[in-house]
Amino acid sequence: MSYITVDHVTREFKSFKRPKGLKNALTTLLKRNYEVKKAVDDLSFTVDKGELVGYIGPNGAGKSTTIKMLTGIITPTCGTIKTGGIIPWENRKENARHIGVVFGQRSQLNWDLPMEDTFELYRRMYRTEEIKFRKNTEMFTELLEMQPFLNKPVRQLSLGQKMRAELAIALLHDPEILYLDEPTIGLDVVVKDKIRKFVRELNREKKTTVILTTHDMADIEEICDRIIMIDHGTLMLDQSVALFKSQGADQYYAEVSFRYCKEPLFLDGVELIKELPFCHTYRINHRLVSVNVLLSRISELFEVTDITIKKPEIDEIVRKIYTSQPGETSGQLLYTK
Amino acid sequence: MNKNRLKQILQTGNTMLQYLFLSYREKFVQNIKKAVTDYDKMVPDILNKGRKEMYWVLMKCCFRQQIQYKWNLLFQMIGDWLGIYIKICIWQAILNAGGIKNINFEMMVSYSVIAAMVNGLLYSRIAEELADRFRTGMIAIDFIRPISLKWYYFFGQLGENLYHVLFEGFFIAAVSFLLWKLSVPGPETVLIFLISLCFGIIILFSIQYAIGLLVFWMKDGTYTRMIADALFLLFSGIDIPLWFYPDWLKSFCDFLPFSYVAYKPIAIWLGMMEAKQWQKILLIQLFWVLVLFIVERLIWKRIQSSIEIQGG
Repeated sequence: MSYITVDHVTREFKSFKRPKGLKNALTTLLKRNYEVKKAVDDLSFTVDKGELVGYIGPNGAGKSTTIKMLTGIITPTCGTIKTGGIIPWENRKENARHIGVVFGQRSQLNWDLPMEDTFELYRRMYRTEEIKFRKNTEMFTELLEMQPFLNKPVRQLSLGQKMRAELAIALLHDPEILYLDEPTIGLDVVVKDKIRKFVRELNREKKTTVILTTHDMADIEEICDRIIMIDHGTLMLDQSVALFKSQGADQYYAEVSFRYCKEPLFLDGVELIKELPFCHTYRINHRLVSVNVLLSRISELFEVTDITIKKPEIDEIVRKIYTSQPGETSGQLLYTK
Repeated sequence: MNKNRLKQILQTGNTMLQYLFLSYREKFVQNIKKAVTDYDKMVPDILNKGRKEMYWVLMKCCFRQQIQYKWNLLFQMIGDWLGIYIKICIWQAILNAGGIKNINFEMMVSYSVIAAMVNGLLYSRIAEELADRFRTGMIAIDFIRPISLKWYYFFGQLGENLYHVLFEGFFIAAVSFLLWKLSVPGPETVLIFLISLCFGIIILFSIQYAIGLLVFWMKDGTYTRMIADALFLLFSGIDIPLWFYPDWLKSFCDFLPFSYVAYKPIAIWLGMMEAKQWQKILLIQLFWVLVLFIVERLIWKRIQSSIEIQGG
């Protein structure tokens, strides 16, 4: 039995069509033409309890709209969603008790108050028991290293500190589902790392189901087990991260540093993609060129000082999918779990 | 004014303050500054279970939030004081030019002072806040909390207002009562006044909330808000006591909820209402509370399915 069920959900938005010219603009005061746009279009997927799901897609793909429907903020035009047996928008308050949400671009902290006070307010809001509350605050304070800024007013905190605080606030009541909407936006590497480790740790300890939207593929790689990708409101792909990464496995990169070069490498299935003095990067299709041939050719042509072999990053696979035409790729990319 | 007189005033002022703050703790008078930072001890913890507790903490949070801006308090105090003083000067001029029957100078002054206090409690940015949070998409945050949007805003606003009335209103009132030698009505009247004032606050906040909700529909709430504010200013009697109005306008005001927010409670304080009258006022206030509750539910039902959250 899946924990979250999204069943043929569509959400339409009416947007006002703005005509050109002053005269036409004036007539819109009386009669208006609306354009109906589908932010989410017949979307279905399920998530089990304790899963770590990366929910990705290009800007405007409908990610945030889905999250808003899952959290009960907006209602879908048609279709049903159930999270833990509850229809979120019909039982918004009940649903809110079981979820934690972090919007990377919106703060739930009170600007003028120190974190401690906001914690206290949230304890009352979610009616968290005293013992659980103490335990959680201690654990989060330690894991997210929040001790130094617990009693400073929020407006004096840095972005990284604030984001850690947001995460702690969203989790104080031990939610069963955690929605993270771009939680690492604008953060430095160290804080990003802290947050990623924290989410994984949380999942291991409390079996929290996590749905994460992000544009930073390293987030996905380090936090998630499964990727759901949407574009134009429809499901593009739903598979495990491992499987997803294997899609790019037919090619790899070789970065060759050298002291001297007779001529650039030229082979079928090998492509020079970056040329610097004394350093070439090649993209190699391993179905066309064997590693042996490659290495022998390289040693013939170059006086090599260093060589690095790189697998493609998850980033690159995603970029390929985003930029390719829907028509030609959807057939080969629509794997399901 | 000679030295002795000033001393006398200060002394009576001190007693007056003590009287007013007795219910909150005498400590306050001894050391205002300490009480400001340490307000927890000052406010009795009368509510301690479940929801009430949350709203209580929320009120305290908003209260504490205001404390951070201590200069605001000072300038607000000066501003409000000037407001009252100017109003009183105008009323005096009007009364000298030819008064209104049954109204004397003391009543005018009492009215102005109490109105200033009531205004402090009625102050509300609920509609503005809702519109603002809608425009920026921050409203999403309010929806993911397991709380009622309405009461959350109510109590937040109340916490802020109580702060201003406690630290500023009471001080101004004390000085005014002393300066113009105003009388305080009996405890019964004060009690009825407070009940009626509570209803008044609920009525006004409900109106504000309903107006605020309209923003989900209209995408911008500036002008509905301005109309509501103007109606409040004209028909509530907060600035101009309704007894200055011609009879036809006065009876028109009786049909609107606004006069039940400010004018009627203040009239109760001034002892202008007999038992029958104030009972009627409380009943009508209750009626308005119910009507506004239904209106707000209806608006909510209509907009719920079409709520959009702006921004990604």
